[in-house]
Amino acid sequence: MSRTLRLGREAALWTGGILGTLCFLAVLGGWLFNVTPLVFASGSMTPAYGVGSLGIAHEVPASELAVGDVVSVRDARGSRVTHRIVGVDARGDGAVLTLKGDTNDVVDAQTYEVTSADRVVLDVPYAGYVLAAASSPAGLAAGGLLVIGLLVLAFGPRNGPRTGPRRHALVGAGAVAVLGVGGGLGLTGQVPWAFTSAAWTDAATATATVSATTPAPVAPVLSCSVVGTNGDWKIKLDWTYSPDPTTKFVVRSNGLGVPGTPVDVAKTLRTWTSAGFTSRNGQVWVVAVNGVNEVESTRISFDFGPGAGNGNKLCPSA
Amino acid sequence: MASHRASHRASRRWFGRGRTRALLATGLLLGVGAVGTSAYWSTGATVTGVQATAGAIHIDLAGAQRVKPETYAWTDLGGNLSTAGGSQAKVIRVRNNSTGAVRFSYDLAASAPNTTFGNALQVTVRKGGSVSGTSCTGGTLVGGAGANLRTYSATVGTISSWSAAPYDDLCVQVTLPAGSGVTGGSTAALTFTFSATQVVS
Repeated sequence: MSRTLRLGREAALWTGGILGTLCFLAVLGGWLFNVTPLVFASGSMTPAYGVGSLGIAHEVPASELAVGDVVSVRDARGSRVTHRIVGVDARGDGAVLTLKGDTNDVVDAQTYEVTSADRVVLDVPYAGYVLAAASSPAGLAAGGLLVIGLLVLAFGPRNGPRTGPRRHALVGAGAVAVLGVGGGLGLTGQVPWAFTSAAWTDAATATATVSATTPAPVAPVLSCSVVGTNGDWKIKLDWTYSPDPTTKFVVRSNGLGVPGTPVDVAKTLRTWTSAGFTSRNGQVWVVAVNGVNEVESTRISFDFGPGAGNGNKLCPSA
Repeated sequence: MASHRASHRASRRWFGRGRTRALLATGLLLGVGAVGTSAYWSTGATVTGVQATAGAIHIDLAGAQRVKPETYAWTDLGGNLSTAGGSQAKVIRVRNNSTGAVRFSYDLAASAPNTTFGNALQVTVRKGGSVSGTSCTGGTLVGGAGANLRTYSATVGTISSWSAAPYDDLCVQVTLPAGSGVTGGSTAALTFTFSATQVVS
């Protein structure tokens, strides 16, 4: 083997060995010390944690969280978001956190109820780009091929005569098992590192003012008659109206002498008869009144006397 | 010299053939398996492969251009609502005016005063809907129809700044139902808050 090939082989083995060891340590360290490496995939925490930064977060109970801490929590969609605490509302063993990105003008749309959170304690700028690249399909394929290549280099037939088929099988099975364990960890969500969105937020507000207006009630359908006897004539009004529990009726008149204005408290009045009158010349009408705001319907008046005028109807004589 | 040779021999015992390093490298398989499954096959993703993005997020209403903070006086939605039952409906354009390639998800929350009038108001939002008279029709209903306005909150959807039409047209209908006991002359200041959150993918 030439010196160049030997150097290349050594470099590949060292690179793979170091990266693989880091992977093992990341898993073990995460489990043992509740540490989570976080890749910042967006920039709302700039400049403290820029895009592509690798943050190291340590899980702490809610009671240890304070305004100003940068924490990583899950939002309603299950995605990680890492922002700074601007409000803590203690709730029993947990807390409701209000978070805000440093470059955001508004706080996050949702609050986060937590019993613990990953508090970011360290930042390694740009290191996250490496992990982001490694997690891409090409990165994952390259990692897998690198390991296979290294295993072939180390255990392949050109690397000594004592490597038998059983050892080949053992190494292969071990590698597949490690891959399987990793896959299991990923599927079950037990991987102690994560990508996080230090998501930007923005808000816009539209304001409008609306007013409630009460339309005038529909006028009642009215009929009029003169009842009584000579010298004791009375006006009798009858009307119909579609049921409306908010509408009451008021009778008004001119020329009746003693007109009377019934107060329709029960809102059930549908007929009215005046006291006796002698003038035989005037008007009488009923209006429907909205019982909420006293808006009146249009009036339809009956003239009693010699004839109708001013658009009024004539109340038929007895 | 002798000690150097001894050290070299010890080193070769551990690292000479590279088997230890090759076995340690299988840690990468652990990572490949974990990231591969969680990022690309698992719906409950813990580790998500992401594309880091740079820029700035902007959600704008009705033609505004990157105004912060933005408060839009939606005068044409305002107006009179009959106590006998009435409604107003208008369309508002919500645009992703972010700089850079930013996709955001946005929510709409409405509020009104805690009064008889405010409590009686209902809202219906239709994404892509249009105004027909004083009602919204068509499009996709966002949240419930005739929802209580004071407690209305719904996720509307996502808008990508790079799409050909980086906006949604939302038809918003405000209704005062009949028989609500509201007094004529009452007024209520309504607030519609559009909250955008960047979606990283």
